[in-house]
Amino acid sequence: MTERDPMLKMFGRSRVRIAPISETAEIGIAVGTALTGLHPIVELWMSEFMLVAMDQVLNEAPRLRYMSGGQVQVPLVLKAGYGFAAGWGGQHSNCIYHTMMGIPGLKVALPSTPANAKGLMASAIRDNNPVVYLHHYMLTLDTGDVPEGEHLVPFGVADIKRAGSDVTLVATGWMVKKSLAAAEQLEREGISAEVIDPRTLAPLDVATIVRSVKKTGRLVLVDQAPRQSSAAAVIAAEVAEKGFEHLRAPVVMVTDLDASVPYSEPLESYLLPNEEKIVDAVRSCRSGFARGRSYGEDFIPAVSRRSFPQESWRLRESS
Amino acid sequence: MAGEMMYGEAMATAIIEEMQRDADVVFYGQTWR
Repeated sequence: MTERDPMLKMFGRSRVRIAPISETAEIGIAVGTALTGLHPIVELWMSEFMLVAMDQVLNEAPRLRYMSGGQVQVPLVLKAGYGFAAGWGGQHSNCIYHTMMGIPGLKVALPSTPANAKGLMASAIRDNNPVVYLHHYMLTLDTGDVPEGEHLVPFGVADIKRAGSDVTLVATGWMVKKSLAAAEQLEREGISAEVIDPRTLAPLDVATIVRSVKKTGRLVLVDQAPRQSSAAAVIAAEVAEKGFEHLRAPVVMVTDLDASVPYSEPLESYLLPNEEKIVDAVRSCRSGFARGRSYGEDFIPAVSRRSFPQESWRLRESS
Repeated sequence: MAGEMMYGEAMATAIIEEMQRDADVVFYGQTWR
């Protein structure tokens, strides 16, 4: 934000502040501001920048309402970009929502379309609890229909982006777009994929996912986060507990590999989920290949060999 | 009525509309410098 930002002219310096790049101070001040009854929106360039203010984000803002017996509220929106996949390196390309979705009192929204970007932001601002609103950098220039005027998207209500009967794909953010593209390809092969976007991870609409699994019998989770710190792992556990009897094949997770995102773009692409990995996961899930297997890193390189530059693969093999 | 809009623009629109609706909404941005 600069002194020339039109928001300064629209609302004045009493409502729009240009904060120094000190997230601890910025978010700490915002928590205090929220306690006085105002509704601050804090804009951070990257979600990873919240990591230097974890006390405020995870241990102060979400706890104060509970610890005061409801005497105070913290209506705060922490808006940040995440998941940048354009060679921005290990400190700017991460998906850290798993850390936040497990904190009681903290809500987490991940819009995947322009309409949801507007509706979830409006709902976040009107919420009387702290909300981490994570927008995906790779979607910034995507266009779509957006309702004019008041448009609220309720938290905890998943969006069925595409109906299907053979397999359920659950994805968030940028991965929704990739899953929809994979579903198109699968349709040409005669496989009908249902694509679900939870839209918020906390609260998480488990019921819609389980209903879909009851219909399809198969679940593939697509998540840009590393496997063991992904929302996919949480959703897999929820379905194992609440919908196990409906599953006709093991749940499959298509995630980032467990490594820091490399600066090298070919290697970055190698790590991240893509359309081909999603399609292969669905095919394998349907053929029964997944049964009894740990579907992790032993699977991903096998399908990735075909799609990435040979020099990247040689680099990995020689390391 | 719906109009075509970019994802980033849709977020900004929601913020501006909510700030116009409710004077208690405040915005803290980060400086470029």
